[in-house]
Order: sequence, then C-alpha cells, then structure tokens
Amino acid sequence: MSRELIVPKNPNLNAPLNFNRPHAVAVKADGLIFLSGMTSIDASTGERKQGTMAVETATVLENMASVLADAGSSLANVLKVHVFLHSLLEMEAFNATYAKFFPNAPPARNISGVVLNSGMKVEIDCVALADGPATPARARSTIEPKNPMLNNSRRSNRPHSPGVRAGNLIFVSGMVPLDPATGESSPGPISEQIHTVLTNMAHLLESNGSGLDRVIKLNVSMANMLESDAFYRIMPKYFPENPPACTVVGMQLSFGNGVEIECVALA
Amino acid sequence: MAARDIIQPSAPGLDLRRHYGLHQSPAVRARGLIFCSGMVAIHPETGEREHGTVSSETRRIFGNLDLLLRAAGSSLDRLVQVHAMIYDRIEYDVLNRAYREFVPNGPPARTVWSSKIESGFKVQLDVAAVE
Repeated sequence: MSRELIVPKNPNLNAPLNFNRPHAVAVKADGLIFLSGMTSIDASTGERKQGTMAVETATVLENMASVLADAGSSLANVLKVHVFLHSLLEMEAFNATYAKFFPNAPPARNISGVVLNSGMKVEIDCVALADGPATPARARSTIEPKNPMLNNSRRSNRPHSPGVRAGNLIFVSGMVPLDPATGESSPGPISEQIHTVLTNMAHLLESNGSGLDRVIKLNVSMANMLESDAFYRIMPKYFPENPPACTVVGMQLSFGNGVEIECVALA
Repeated sequence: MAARDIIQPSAPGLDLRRHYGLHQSPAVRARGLIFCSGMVAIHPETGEREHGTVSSETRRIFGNLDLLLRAAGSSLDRLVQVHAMIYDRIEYDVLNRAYREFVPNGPPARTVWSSKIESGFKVQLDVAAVE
C-alpha cells in the first residue's frame, strides 16, 4: 500500500524541516491524510506567530487548509481533529474561531489541555480524507446518536460532530459522561463515569450500524492516572472478546470530567 | 463486512493483556491500516517494565514497535502517524534525538505532548501504520 509524504508548496510551512524536527508535515496512505500537530507559523516568514487564541487558531487552520490543498484535499474533508490548548479556560475563545473554518458538518474532535512548546496557545493535528472520486468507499458523512440528548455537540452548540464516517471507518469524538435521560453532565465516581461513556459510545455506534465489537482503537484520557485501573476493570464488560488497541493517558480534561474516550471503529 | 484483525506479536512480552491484565490487543488491522496500542518500554521477551531515561525508553519502544509492526505485515518505515507522549515537555529535544534514529527516511506525521503515563514511564508512543 502506498505511503506518500506531503511537502507543502510554501516552504515556510515546512515546520519540521525549518525547525529540524524528525517528522513529516503530513503523510498520505490508504485514502487518508495524517497531519502532524501544527502550531501557529507565519506563512510569509516561517517564524512562530504567537498571539491571542483567536489569532493562533486562525493561523493554524489557514495553514492546515493550505497543506491539505497541496495534498489534494481540503478542510471540508477533515475527519478527526485533535486539539491541544495551553489552557482549557480558553475553550470558548478557541471554539469561536474554529467554528468559522468548519461551518457545516464539522469533524469529530477532542480537546485537551497541555503545556505547549515555545509558549504557543494551540496545537492541532488531524486525519483527513484524501480527495478523490466520490465513490461510496470514500464518502464522508457525519453521524449522530439516535438519542438526541446524547448529541452533545448540537445541544451545547459546539463546532464538532459526534462522529464522522469515511467509507467504512468511523471516527468518534472524545466522549465525556452524559446522562442519557437529560443530556447533562453526569459527574460521579470514576467507575460510573466510565460505564456511562462506554454505554453512550455503544449507543452512538449502534445508531449507525456499527458497535463496540467493531472498534479498532480506543483512546482514553483520564484526569487522574491513579484511577486507570478502574478503566481496565470495566473495559472487559464492554469488549468481552478481541478487545481493540488502546492507549490510556493522564490529561487535563474539560469541565471537571474524570474521563474522556474517543475511538476509531469500522462501520 | 470489512475485516478487523487482531495482531499478536511474535514476542510474548509485548502482550500487555497477558502480563498486566490490560484488556486490550497489541494492535488491530482494518483496511490497510494498523492501529497499535500505546507502547511503553517493556522487555519484548519477559514483559518486564524497563524504566529508564527518555532516550532508553524511546529506543526500547521503537524496538518493540518494529517487532509488532512486522507481525502485522508492516514496519517502522510504514508508520503514518505517531502520537508521542512524554512525561515532561522539557525533554522534547531528548525525545527527538533518539526518535530520529528510527525514522531516518520519510518520518511519519507526529504530534508530541506531555501527559501522565501509566506506571511512571517517561515515554509512550501511540502509532498507526499501513501495510
């Protein structure tokens, strides 16, 4: 299967080369484009462009659009976005700018708070569909849970979709514990939060012809890594046989949630 | 229906489910893509944890990924995306120096961030590759 490195036409956007980092700007493989994390770079000079959250977010997404265009794709083809913010207190400022770049059918997404290099405020990476003939195997569509209470992005007016389907792959946004009866945040003991997220994830996948037994990869973020054992105790109840590949990390999470889980599944 | 294959590495130490009860598969292949579980510095034969420096853990992880990806019909040259987690952002350049040794030609897309990693490891690599 082919694996092609994407080199931006504008050399100023080749940050890995310009900053001597051992990674590619983007890689195209299996009909998908994987972009490295991008921080705010001035496209006219190649230098870092620190600014407000709005300025950095717009700069990153403009550059991302440019690189995707060089790879024959576009922001409209983005499936899954990982966002890293220097502070989750800036989430609303981030969302306000981000939403302008994804006006319709936004990608699946998750956001976490981390320390970024060089005092940058935001870093974004993504997986996008390589543009091509609009065959069923390549179509991109957003997915929703049947239970509207669990459509967090719509109820809270967030610029992401619960999930995005591309051909036979489904990318699910980071899911936090939501009460399926009310749609409200459902804080509680970590074990209950994990049960809630995995139950809701099953509902979302089953609403779209998939299921937990079709999950390929799980990414689990926990606010307190000392509680990771709770996850592994509960996981077998939902994935009794042939569990997916899985990564668990300790991260700063939004809104006081103890756990956030995202996945890639087969449709 | 598209297939979803569980990849079992030839090295017994890499099965964290067996060694540590972590209910996960080492890697899963779907379409032409291979998604690996987060890899940490464990001995590929015994499964023992090998805590060390960012450099030593990175080298051990890449050695393990090489074994795992080969079992999946892929290789380190076929990596497409890496999510690299380190315990402290200040060691970013230390990671890069060891990392570079294993992706000499056409390195994959990558994002690095700092996070808490299980058992106090300093590095964890979460990778996807193509066949």
